Amino acid sequence: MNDRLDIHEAFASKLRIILITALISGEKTFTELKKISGATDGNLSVQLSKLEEWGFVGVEKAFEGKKPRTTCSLTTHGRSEFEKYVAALEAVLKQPEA
Amino acid sequence: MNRTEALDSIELIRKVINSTGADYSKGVRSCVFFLIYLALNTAMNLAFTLYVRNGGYEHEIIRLYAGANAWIGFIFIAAGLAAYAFIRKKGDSVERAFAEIWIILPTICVIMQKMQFLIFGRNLNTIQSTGFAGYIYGYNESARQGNLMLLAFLVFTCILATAVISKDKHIKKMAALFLVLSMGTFIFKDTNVSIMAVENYQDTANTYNFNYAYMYGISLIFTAWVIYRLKTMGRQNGGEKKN
Repeated sequence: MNDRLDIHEAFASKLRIILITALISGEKTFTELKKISGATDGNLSVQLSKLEEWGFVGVEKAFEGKKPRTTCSLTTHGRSEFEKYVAALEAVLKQPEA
Repeated sequence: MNRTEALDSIELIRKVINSTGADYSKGVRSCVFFLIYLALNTAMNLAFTLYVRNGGYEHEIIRLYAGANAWIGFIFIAAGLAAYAFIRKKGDSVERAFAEIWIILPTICVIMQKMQFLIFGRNLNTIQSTGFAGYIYGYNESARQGNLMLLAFLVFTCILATAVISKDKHIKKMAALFLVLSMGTFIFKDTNVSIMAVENYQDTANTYNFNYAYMYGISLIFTAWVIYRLKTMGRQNGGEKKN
């Protein structure tokens, strides 16, 4: 956690912010997230694993016929942390300019 | 974090939300559905109540009223189907659509109808007749059927619609079985078990009709099974594809 603003480490990376924000509007497949973020498979996979490890994202792997399909969704914890993050950003913007 | 970084982050979030669509649509969609239904229904209930209070012929007007309610039910289902198609296109969860539009909202609507009647129809010497039965059978019979008919009818139609849309062959098979089982309502049609006496208008509100209870019961079992099936087959958008 960032002590000063109480922001989770997950929001330290732009890609992770993009992924969390994209999942706010509902679950997305790996392909959809790749399209939205423009990230490579490897990078996306690593960041999703981190988010899953922190309990921000739930990842479900299944088969659509014979084709594998990975679906990601934001957890309640992830959503709540995102709300905290947005509130922190708003707080920064409300502060008078130095 | 300084102001510039915060602005950058806000801008990034805004861009992603704009490109993916915000979550508000689902809530708005449900509310719009519900409000439209409620507005139409409330207007009809008010009109009906005023008519009767001003000396209108109760027996006939209740027939029209019940018929109109049934048609609103049809419109509601059609709108639900359209929304469902839209949701599927967007790739949202089919279980959510199923539960939200076809199970929860119609149930709330029926409960609201009951509440409206309690408010508008206070001291009125009649009972509510909201179902399709009111259109078909008329006042006395529809009074016995009650809201269970409307609810069973809504669920029945929605389940069949799900089966038609679903690509899952198991769901289709179960829908066929459900259809066969629903024929049981014809067996029980003439063996309605009214717990309370039908002669007294007030008492009829508490009558119990086995015919529609049976239909509603099997509808619920089928619904539960479909949701379970959708959840366990690891496919979010309507059923696994045939290989």
